[in-house]
Amino acid sequence: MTVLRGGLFGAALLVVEAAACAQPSLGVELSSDQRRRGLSWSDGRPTVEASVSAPVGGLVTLGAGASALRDSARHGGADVGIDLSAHVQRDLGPWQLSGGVTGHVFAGASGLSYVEIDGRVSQSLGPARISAGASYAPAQGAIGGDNLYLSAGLDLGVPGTPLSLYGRVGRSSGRVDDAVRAMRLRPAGHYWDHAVGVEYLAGPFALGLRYTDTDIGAVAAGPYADAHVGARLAGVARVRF
Amino acid sequence: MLVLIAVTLAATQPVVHQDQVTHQGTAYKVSYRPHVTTELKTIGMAAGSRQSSERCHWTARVSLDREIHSASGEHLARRVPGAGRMMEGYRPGRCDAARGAIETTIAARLDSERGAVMAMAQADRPAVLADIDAAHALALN
Repeated sequence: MTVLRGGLFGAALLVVEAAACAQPSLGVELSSDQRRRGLSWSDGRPTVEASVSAPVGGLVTLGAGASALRDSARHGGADVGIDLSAHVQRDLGPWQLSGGVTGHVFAGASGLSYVEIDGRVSQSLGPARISAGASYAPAQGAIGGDNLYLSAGLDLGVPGTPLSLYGRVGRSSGRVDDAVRAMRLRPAGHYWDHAVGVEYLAGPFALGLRYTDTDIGAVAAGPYADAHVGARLAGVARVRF
Repeated sequence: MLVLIAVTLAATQPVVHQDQVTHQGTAYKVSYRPHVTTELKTIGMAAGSRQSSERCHWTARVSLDREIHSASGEHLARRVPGAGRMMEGYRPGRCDAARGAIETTIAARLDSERGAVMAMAQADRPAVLADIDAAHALALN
């Protein structure tokens, strides 16, 4: 039971009784360019992504997503990128903690799948949410070494409107064992990326614009070289149930 | 994740509107208390390197519960007919993490929509008379 303070017409309290049940969530997203950590995963071209998430037992959420990669050189010309994830969420005082593992599988390309673990802490402050996270992919041949991604973000639901704003900044680093494959996640060594976006929300639908950029300069030639790493304004349309 | 919250009305809930009606020469006191049902649904997901799309979509339906009291101590209680007043909004992140902020938002929105809620009560007057009629008819049978 929770208590709704500052209730109707200045009344002291409204007593709220809550019951919860978990439901899976299904979604489809169209984007003019799928950027992750500032890098295009769709060869700079429009793509579609379908995903599902399912809470299990209150603490754990399982997720799966599949994206058309448009023969992106970054992923060896794979047709489809599949993300399989399991995350645990827990609240600690005002903080929300989550941690989990994600496997990135690339159908249509051999030896390029990899796995990473991640942790995130976030807190709601009024209509805003601040968050910080770390993702680490242990050394794997598929990505030519290991990869650490540190990020911080701010999300804001604009009060009284269906608009949502967000901003992120992140840093990718790691050790290089195979310079050719390390270019997949770090095309020119360590780099910074940032993203800002706005979304218009209407029930299960969302329309948005997302601007991303990195401090990566020129990308050297190579079998996994993909020059779609610079400033990009992408449109996003999503439906989620 | 879907979360349903129902505000359970008790005698301690605030009366937001009071009225007096006269039916066949008898005066009745009519009072209204709020009933708010809120639905929270987390949409989107946050996993791996994907841009998080996790949002909490909340909707709140404000209805009124009406009590008619006669001078002799009899009373008749029921929910005011109609769809009530709908409100909705979004919060970043999971609903369970944002529940406190959402409750505060709903309370503030209820205060700011006082006029609309009062109008619901005032539009109920014909139904009040009809319900008193029906109660009299039942009592006579």
